[in-house]
This record gives sequence, C-alpha cells and structure tokens, in this order.
Amino acid sequence: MIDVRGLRKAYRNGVVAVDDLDITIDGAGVHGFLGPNGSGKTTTIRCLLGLIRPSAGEVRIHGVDTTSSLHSVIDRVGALVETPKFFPNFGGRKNLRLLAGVTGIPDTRVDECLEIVGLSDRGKDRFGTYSLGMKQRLAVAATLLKDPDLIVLDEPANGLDPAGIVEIRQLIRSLGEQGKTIFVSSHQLGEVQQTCDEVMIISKGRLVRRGPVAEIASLGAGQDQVVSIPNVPDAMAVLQQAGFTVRPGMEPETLLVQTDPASAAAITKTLADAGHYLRGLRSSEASLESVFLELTRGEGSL
Amino acid sequence: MRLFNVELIRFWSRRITWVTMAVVAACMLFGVGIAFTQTSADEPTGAGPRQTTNPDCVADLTAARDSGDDPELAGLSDEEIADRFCTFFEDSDDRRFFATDILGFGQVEDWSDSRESESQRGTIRVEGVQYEAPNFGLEGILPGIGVFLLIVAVVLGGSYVGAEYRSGTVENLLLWEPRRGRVLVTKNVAGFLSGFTVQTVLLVFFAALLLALAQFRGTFQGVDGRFWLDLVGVIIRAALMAGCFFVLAMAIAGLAKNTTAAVVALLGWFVVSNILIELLVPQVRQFELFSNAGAFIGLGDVGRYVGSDSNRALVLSHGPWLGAVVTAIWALLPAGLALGLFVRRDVT
Repeated sequence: MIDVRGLRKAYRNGVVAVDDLDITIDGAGVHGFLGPNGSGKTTTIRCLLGLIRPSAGEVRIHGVDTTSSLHSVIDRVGALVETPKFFPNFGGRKNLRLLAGVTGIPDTRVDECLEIVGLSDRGKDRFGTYSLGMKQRLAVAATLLKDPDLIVLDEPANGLDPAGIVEIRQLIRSLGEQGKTIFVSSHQLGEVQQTCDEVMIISKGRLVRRGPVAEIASLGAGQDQVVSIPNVPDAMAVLQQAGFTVRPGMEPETLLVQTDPASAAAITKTLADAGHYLRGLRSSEASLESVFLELTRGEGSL
Repeated sequence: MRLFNVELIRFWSRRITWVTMAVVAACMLFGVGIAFTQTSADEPTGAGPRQTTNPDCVADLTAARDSGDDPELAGLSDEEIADRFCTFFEDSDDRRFFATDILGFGQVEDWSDSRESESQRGTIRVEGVQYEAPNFGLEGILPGIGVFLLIVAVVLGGSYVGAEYRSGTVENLLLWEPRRGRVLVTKNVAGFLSGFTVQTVLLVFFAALLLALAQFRGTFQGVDGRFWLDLVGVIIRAALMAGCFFVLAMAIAGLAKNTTAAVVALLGWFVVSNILIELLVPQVRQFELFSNAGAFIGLGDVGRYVGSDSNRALVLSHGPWLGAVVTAIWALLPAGLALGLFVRRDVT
C-alpha cells in the first residue's frame, strides 16, 4: 500500500530532511509515524503525496510511483498535511463541496462526512470563524470524502482540546477497525500509544525503530526509576555526582534515573544524605515515552 | 471539466468578485448620474454657423507666406490658407447626450481613416447646421472605461491565485488532482473566461446606462447599424483583453505566491510605464502592455519612436490586431513561466 525505498530529501539550503528512509505499510490498521519536531515526518508525507519531489529514492502508493502517476490512485487516498487549509471566507460545507466537485463526489457525501466529524450544524459558517478544533475536524472530513482505503494524517490532533483529541482518536481507531489503512504522524506519544497498532519512529530523517506499539513500549519498561521530588535541578546534580545517569521526567517535579529497580535504596540514600527527601519512587511503566526519548536521543541504541 | 466547473464556482462564490463588481457598478451609476444632471434633452437653440474664419489669422499667415518665412505656406492662395489654417468649427449650445458619444466619433469612422491623425473628431448635423461635435464630453467613454476596467481584471485575477497561496488551498487541491499542469491550465482557462465575463457584464451595464442617458437626456441621432456593431465590438474586445489581464495577474501572483505582487506590479506599470519608457527605453514603446490593449479595444494604433533622443518623433508602429497579439504574448509568457515553475516547485 505504501512503499518508500531509500527516500532522501535535501532542500536547497542544504538541510537533509529525510535520509535513506525505508517504510513499507501493507495492511489495514493504524500505523503511527512518530518523531520529534523536525525529524522529517512531514517531509516524508509530502513526498508520499507528490507535494515535494524526493532528491532520491522511490515512493509508491498502491504500487504506483507517486512522483509520476499519483493521479491514478489519488481517488483512493485521503490526506491531511499539517494545518487544515481551506478558504476562510467560504463555509465548511462549501469548502468540502469544492473539493468533492473535483472528482464528482455528490453533495450527500459531503453532508455525511460533516456528520461524521460533528460539523453538520456549522457547515454553513465561514471556515475563518471556526475554532482550531473545528478546522481540524473539517480537514478530517475532507480526507473521508473519497471514502479512501488509505488515509494519511499529519499531526491530526494538533491544536485540539482534550475532548477533541479523544474524538479524533476514536475516529481514527474506528476507521482502522473498518479495514482502512491509516498512516498517522505525530509527535505526541500518548496519541500514538493509544491509537496505533504499529509504530515507526523516525529521528533526523532516518527510521530508528519499527514494530507493534506494545512491543516497542516494552523495550523501555523498568529501565528507568521515576523519582518524585520538589527540587529537581538540585536533586539531579546530587544524583549525577553520585554517578547516576539522570534526566528530567515528562511530568512536573519528576526525574528519571536510568538504573534497575535494585538501585532504589541507593537513590533514596544518596538524596537523603544531601538533604533531599523524595516523595515517591517507582519503576517506569511500559511506555513509548521512554523508548522514544532514548531512541531519538541516541538514534536507536535500544 | 469537473475541475473547470469547480474553478468557476469558486470564482463566482468569492465575495471580492461581487464586491468589486458592485463598487464598479456603483461608480458607473454615480458618474452617469452626474452626467444626467449636466445634460438636457432639449433641442439646441441659438446654434451658430458651422464655421468661422479668423481674419487676423489669415492676415498673419498670408504675410508669412509672402515673406517666405514659412515654406509650408508657399504657393497657397489666400482662400486656401483661410480654409486650411484659419477656419474653426463652432461649438453649439447643445446639451444633449448623443448616443454616438459612447464610442466616440473616431470609433464610428472606419479606423483606417484615423491612422494618419491622432484625433479625428466627427461632425454632426442638427437641423441643417453642422457642428464639430456634441458638447457633452463623454466621447469614446466606453473604450476608455474598457481600458480602465482592466484594473478590475488585475485585482480579481491576482487575488484569485494569491488567495490560494495565502490560505494554502492549492495544496489541498493537489491532493485531489495531482496533475499540476492540468490544474494550472484549467485555472488559466477558467480565469480567462471569468475576466472576460466580468468585463462584459460591467461594460454592458455601463453601455446600458449611457444608452438610457441618451434616451432620457439626449438623442440617438447619428446612430445606425454600424454603431451597434461597433458597440458590441468594443465590449467584446475589451472583454478579451480583460481575460488576458486576468491570466497575466494570475501568473504574477502564482510566481510570487502573493496577490499584492500582481496588483502592485501591474497597477504600478499602468501608472508609470509611459514615463519609464520615455526616460529609459523609448525604443520599446510599441510593446507597452496597456497601449497595445487600449489600441485593440478602441481599434486605434500603437506608435513607436524614431530618431535620436533630441529629435524623436512618434510614428505608426502597428494597428489594433497586432496590439492584441502583443497583449496576448504579455499574458502568455508569464503564464508559461508560472506553469513551468508550478509543475516543478515543491509545495511546502
């Protein structure tokens, strides 16, 4: 369905956004494409959709080279790239109808898609008056218009409030369960962990890990000890002086000590001796987060 | 064809299209309203003779002939001097608006007759008295407005493409029709047609206002079948030129990914082109965009400079049809460049 081989994209300013990237997706379900900002996710997606020309490599969708023959399969592909892009002075429905008109999709399908994303009541309102979440939902509706078997979503949860994120997550899951192939990029680990069946992690334009989400997440389970403590910088300094490898945690007032659970007593004692009293200490859970941080920092050392 | 329909729907759904047309129509209405107050349907009274001869002028010129100061006068009789140089048409006190003014008398004449002279005013006979021209000064207003309204095509054409880049919807469109050449060619065809239609609608509206002015505050005297043909001709030619300007503005906006670039470039050119050409490159005067478009709309001529800077003279370069070709080239070259770039450019 998606076949990327040796993809490289170097911009004229010398920046190599993607370098020798190989991706193959061949089956229904939700496939996450995870990477930090600037890792090459969007560039890969743009190459995939024929919006930018690869410097080298091959990009195929449904077996068709997208640099030359994308038009022959575009009716089977729905895509949202970065921010939603519509005419601000047209209503949501009008914007969708214009797109639908390009391939002769009937207006009834437009209304169906607006219904799916919960925008039926606001279809007449100008796109420019929509909230960020509504704009994002309209963009998702646009990807559904063609009833495609492959849906490419680039950061679909960007700018959404928690309720919107849950809605989008449920929508993506339900589309995956309907037998569609969803290729969704994100830098939000929780999103990917809760939505995707499989994840590909990209860093600095290269694929550093790929596999089922649970399997990837388990790579990091228990490798870190999560310390809850009020004064994180001082505590980090103390632990580092004692020879521990330490980094700040994702949650406030936490830090991660890279060691096994048997070292818990040593951590406690080291901090107490320095006058720092911890509030809690636990082993990290099976989390994509720790794996992701490790992989994108150390480029695949796990 | 579907994409073409979508482009047309989009153009006619844009607020700027209707607002611009409404503003222009309002200005036309305002202008004709003023003309309405300045004109009168009354028959002219106290009309003078067709022409008078200035005796002082005759005396001066015969003296110049006799002294040999002016070789141009040599061999001319007193009567010939009086007839050629010292006889003047008289204005009437006619305040009627003549329908023929819409095109201008020069336009009613066969254009080939006017090739030799810059201005060939017509005459009109009212109750046996021949006047130089009707008094109310709207002669040639329709061709003139046709040239002026090319600015509308520039604004609408530039914003049509510029808005796509501003909102990023060009990217959306390419996710539905990735064949970029097809996309841009379709846009250009739709743009040309849109520019043509807008210009036609506005000029038909304006012509209707002027004809109403003639009906209620003037006369249709002098109007014949040729007038109506010329009227339709002016509108069609102006509409064709508007289509070209629409495409040109689209091309510049596409190259710059920006509406303002197209509007500023073309309006700036409209304002300063003649000065720049005079000062910097007088030898290319005959290729100036608006002059060529204007020549085609009004079936006039385009002049070119000959001679050195100190002894420069303006002579006929080409007629209106070549003017249309030059304008089309002006539109097609940037459009081709924009197409080439659009096909190759990364959409980021």
